Amino acid sequence: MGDRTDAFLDRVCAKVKNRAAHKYIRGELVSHIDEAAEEYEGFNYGHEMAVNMALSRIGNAEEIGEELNRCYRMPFGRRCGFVIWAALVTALIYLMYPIVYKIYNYTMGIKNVGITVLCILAVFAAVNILFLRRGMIIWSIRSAAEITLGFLIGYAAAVGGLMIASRFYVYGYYPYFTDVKILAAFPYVPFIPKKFYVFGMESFCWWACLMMYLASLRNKRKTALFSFAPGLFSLEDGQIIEDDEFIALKRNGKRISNIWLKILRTGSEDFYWNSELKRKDFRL
Amino acid sequence: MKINKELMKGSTATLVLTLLSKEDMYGYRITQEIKKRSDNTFDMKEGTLYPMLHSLEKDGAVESYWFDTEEGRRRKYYKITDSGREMLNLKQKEWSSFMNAMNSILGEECYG
Repeated sequence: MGDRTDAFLDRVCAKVKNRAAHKYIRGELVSHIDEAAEEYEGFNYGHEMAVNMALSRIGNAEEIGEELNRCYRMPFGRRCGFVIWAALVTALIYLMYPIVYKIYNYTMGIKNVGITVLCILAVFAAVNILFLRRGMIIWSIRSAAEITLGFLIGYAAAVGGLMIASRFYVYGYYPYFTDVKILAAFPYVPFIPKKFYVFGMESFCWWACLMMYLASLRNKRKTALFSFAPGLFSLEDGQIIEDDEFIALKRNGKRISNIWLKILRTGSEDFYWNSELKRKDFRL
Repeated sequence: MKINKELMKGSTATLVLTLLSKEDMYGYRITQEIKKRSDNTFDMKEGTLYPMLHSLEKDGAVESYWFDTEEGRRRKYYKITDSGREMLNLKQKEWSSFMNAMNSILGEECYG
């Protein structure tokens, strides 16, 4: 690929916020430019001239990038995507807390573990659909602030809603499990007493897992621990991220140790295979 | 005669879906076919086709797959789906009623 083609593709991709789509866009446009250039070469133009003519025929890089970006926009918009996502996840965690609590205390049958596992998968699926399919998130102060705000909104909404609903059952207890107290519920929170259980131990674990998951995106890679989630729920992402990152790292001249690179590559190949398999057999 | 860009914009999806309803094609081939069949009238900037193909794919009207040719070239082929065919049907009907309406007005003007 020539420098001009490369620069053109960089300009297109710069406009596309969804990094996961970059590989496909690049691959497709390179193939187009190559074919167009080859056509000109058939008319005895030199290679460079042929590429230039092909590039001028394809149009304005920024315009194409902006149009493509519209196809891959994040849900809820970029401004408040994190807030809404964090609020939803927090609310879900609070709503599901009694199930986890009961399993933890052996007061719920082992069969119900399945329900919890499904719910956890649903959370990861939501993360995946909202972010991984749509685009890469890059950790920043702003995103951290948005997640915190989303947490507070989700917390207030879930606890408030549960408290209101519990008035019709047993006040202060989950409406659907009347022997489990609502987390951070009255009378403890208003007076900030000894028992200030904003996070149960179980929900803390969830948050830790989610944070690890999101933090792993900082480096634009998934941790191996969670690589199953995109494989289960997405059609065509994940593997792209690694590849894109390798290209970016090479360009930036950053050095990674060979061992680390090898481990990551092996991981990404396995994951690619898994995704391909899922995509073909279980197109969702 | 070159066609106005805005006029083209609304009908490109119909053209693309029509071509794909005959056979699977890749981007470059689609642009060439449109140009050839319209006798160079629809000579659009080729890059503008891709955002449209991607949004058709997002809407489920087309599916894509990569194909490696014998010459070692990788091409992304697009294939029309059932919902794409339905969309094409609708678009064709829409187009024909639009054309009839335009003709009936232009006809009075042009042919008196």
